[in-house]
This record gives sequence, structure tokens and C-alpha cells, in this order.
Amino acid sequence: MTPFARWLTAAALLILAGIAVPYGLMSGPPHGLGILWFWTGFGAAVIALILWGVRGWGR
Amino acid sequence: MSATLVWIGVGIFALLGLVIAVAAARGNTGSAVDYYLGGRAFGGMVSGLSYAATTYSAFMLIVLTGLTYRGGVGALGFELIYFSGLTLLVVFGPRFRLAAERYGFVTPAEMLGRRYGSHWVARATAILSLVFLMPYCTTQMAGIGLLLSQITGGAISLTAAVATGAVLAMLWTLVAGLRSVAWTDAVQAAIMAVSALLAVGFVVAEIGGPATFAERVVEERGAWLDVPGPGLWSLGTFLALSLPWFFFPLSNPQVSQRLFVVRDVAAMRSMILWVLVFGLLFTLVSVIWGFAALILAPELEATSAATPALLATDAVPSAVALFLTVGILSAAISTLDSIALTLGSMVARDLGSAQARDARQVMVGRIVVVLVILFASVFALRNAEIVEQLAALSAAGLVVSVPAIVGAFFWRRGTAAGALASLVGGTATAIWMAFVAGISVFDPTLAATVIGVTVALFVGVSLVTRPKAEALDFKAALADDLARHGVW
Repeated sequence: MTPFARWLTAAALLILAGIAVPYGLMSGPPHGLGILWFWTGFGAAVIALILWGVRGWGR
Repeated sequence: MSATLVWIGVGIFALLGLVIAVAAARGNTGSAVDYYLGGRAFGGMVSGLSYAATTYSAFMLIVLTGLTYRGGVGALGFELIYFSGLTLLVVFGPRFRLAAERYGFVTPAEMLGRRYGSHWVARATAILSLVFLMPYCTTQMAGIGLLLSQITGGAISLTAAVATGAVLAMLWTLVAGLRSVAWTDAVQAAIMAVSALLAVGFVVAEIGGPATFAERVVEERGAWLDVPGPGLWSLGTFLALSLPWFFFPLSNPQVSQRLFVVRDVAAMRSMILWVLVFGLLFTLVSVIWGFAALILAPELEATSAATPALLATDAVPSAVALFLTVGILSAAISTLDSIALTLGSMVARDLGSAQARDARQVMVGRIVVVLVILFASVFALRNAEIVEQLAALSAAGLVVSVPAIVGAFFWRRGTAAGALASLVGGTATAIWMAFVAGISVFDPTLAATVIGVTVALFVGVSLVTRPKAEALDFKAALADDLARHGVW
């Protein structure tokens, strides 16, 4: 698997998880801050993924 | 809040913007590339903040806050799926930049037209952008009107507020094109971020600090911390909104054109980092703001009033409330002037001629900028239903350009006929479903069908037609450049 294919797979899995985990695994009572923290972590993971994607640019 | 105070704040803001716009104009050479792209010479910070201010509009602190107020944490998920669409820049950002530099493209429509060897592809892309982005401008203008009017209890009329927004957006676009737009955008992005952070800090402190705030939300509004929550964020609605918005960085020309303006690939990397930091921060602040409104201003009937209602409480000092009002005004104007400038460039080059004299291209663009902003102002005041529906449909409508864009870089077999069929057929499908069949943008059937029809038309028609002889081969032409810049 090329580095690009690995990155693309990671991106697809991350975005899928961004929908499936809150709606599939975390939905329902008791209500707490879990989903809010999950999506905040998801946003941070998107940044990490993009940093991985652009790290070789312009060198 | 007193109207005098708001006028003073807006006056200072206008003066600051004017000084920046005039200073930015000094670098202009009068060419079309200079007017529409700032000479392709922007560094990472200014282009990144300009991209962020263009992307993150008044939608954030009015609509997203309202969606949080009405439906809870699902609003955060929706906005972050949209945020994750920025991953598309890793693949397409340098390709747009390098293709534009090599062939001299000024607009994304021009890029598609030349790639497929058909001026009709460029024209169709430009018309598609006009159809959906002009109504979208109207929503920004309406946001300015409602905000200033509601926050002053009607002392500033809707007409005066809209006229103020129109004058500022026109002025900053006409002075020096993208140079003045990008520099005022950058300053406006800073105002948006700082004012929102300050305001949210005050409301959280008023509630009793972060821990008490979290406890109160869990105790008083527990259902809002779940999905589907109190009702709005069913999985279907979530997908219906998220799916077309994910492709925003490619489908919306006012942001994809920003990929042409950076001076090199290294500057683009820096630009993306600025957008990421701003985007995540602003998203979190907007959603926290919505939850704070649930605690401090409960039981509002119109959720779009959440922000004005929160600003009207004693939680936010007047000076900070005024600063945030200017921040929201900034968010609306920075989006509005960027869209107007992009539409101006498309009319001048794609519906007009890219070979026309530079002075003529700039003049046509300036006229279009004025007309777009006047259109937005008039319809913001008239509440025309068709304009509101087209604005709501904009994300699902503009997404029809995505298959042709992806094919431009990754599928040599894609043809002009396939691209044109997907643009026209996809748009017709979106309009038919929304206006004739009456399917809501909150129904995932709409976005899924539009995307399905568009992809099928692009692939199907391309396979039964031949690429034009004058079509460009981006894949081969850019391969060496991409490798040299370390891009996958």
C-alpha cells in the first residue's frame, strides 16, 4: 500500500467513524458529555490527518 | 443595545477596513490576474485567514448557534463533518494551484472549460455558480439586517442595516479586488475569532465557570447532548446536510479560487494550517455559544434569535457585545464580498472572454460585484420565497460540479459532453426535486439523488463520447510538478 493509499484509507475510516460512533455506539441515555468530547477529538484528529497529508509539501 | 453605540462600532470598523483596503490597493498593477487573484502572490497567513473568513460566514454565530439551541450537539457533528471536507485540500489544493500557474487560469470554471476543451463547460459552471451563490449572498445580507435590527430593538431599521452591509462589501471589493478583499478578510477573521472567544468567555463565567456550565447543561438539557437529541438531528437529517457540505472546498468557487492565489505550495501548506486552527476554534465557540443561550436565554421561539437574545442579557458587557456584533458583521461581509468578486471574475472571463483586455475584464467584474450586492440587498428586504429556497439548496446544487472536478485531475477518459451532462442534469435534478417534487434539503434523498445522478451522467456520457482534441491532460502535465513539490 502506498503512503497516499494509507492516508486515503485513514481519512475514509476517520470520517466514517465521525458519523457511525456517535449515532451507533454512543447514542441514547444516560446523557453526558461523551458525544461532545468525541466530536471535539474528531476535529483534532482531522487536523492531525491533514498535517500528515501536507508534511512533505514544498521540500 | 443603543443604536448610537452600534453606529460608532460600525463606523470604526468601516474606517479600519477602508484604510486597509486603500493600503492594499497600492500593489495593484491593473491586470485581471492582479485584480482577481492578487497577482498569485499571497503568503500563507493572509490567504489562510481570508479563506477562513470566506468559508465561515454569519451562518456560524446565527444559524449554527440556532441549530445547537434547537437540536443540540448534532450541530457540532454536522459542522465538523463539513470541517473534515478540508481533507480534500490535501489532494486537490496543490493540483488547483499548479494547474492555474501553468495554464494561467483565473477562475475554477475556466480551469474546467480548458481541461475538457469546451467553453460550454466553463459557461455552465459559471451559470451554476450564479444561480446558487447569488441567493446565498442574500442570506448573508439578511443576517446583517436581522442582527443589527434585533440587537438594537428595531432602532436600526432592516433597510439601514442592509444598506450599511452593502456599502461596506462594495467598497472593499471595488477598491482593489482581491488585494483589498483578502487583507480586509484577514483582519475580519481576527475580529471574528477574538470577539467570539471573549464573548463566550464572559457567558461561561456568568454561568459559573466551565465545570458549572457543563453540569448545568447535563442536568437541564441532557437530551441536547445526545443524537438525535430533542428531535432535529435524526441520522437522515445529519447526512442530508453533511453530505453536500463535505464537498464545499471543491464545489464553492469563492473558496476553490483561493487555491489559485498563494505564491507557492509551501505557502498553501501554511494557508491550510491557518484555516484548520481557525475553523476548529470558531466551530467550538459557536456551539458553546448555542449551549450558553439554552441556559441564559431559554424558551426562545425563533432559534435564529439565540445570539441577539444572549447579547441582550447582562452576561456580556456592552463593549464585548458590540465587538461581537462587529465580528458577526465581519463574517457576513467577508463572505459576501468574496462571492461577489468570484462571480465578477466568472462573468468577465467565462461568460465574457478571457482574451478581452485587462481593463475591460476588471470593469465587467466591478459592474457584476455591484449588481450581485444590490441583488442580495433587495431580496434580503423582500423575503422572496424562491430566493430563500435556492439559498437553502446551494450546497446540494453546487455539489454537481464535483464529479467533473475530480475527473479533471484523475480520469483522463472524462469528456466535455460528460462534464456538461453532469452539470446540467445534476442542476436540473436538484431544482426539480426541491421545487417540483417538494423534497426538503433536510431529506437525504435529495443530496443522495443529486450526487448519484451527477456521477452517473458524468461517467456514462463520458464513456460513450470522446475527449476533445483540445482538451488538456492535467494528470500527465502536472505529474512532474507534483513530484517535485512532494505532493502525493
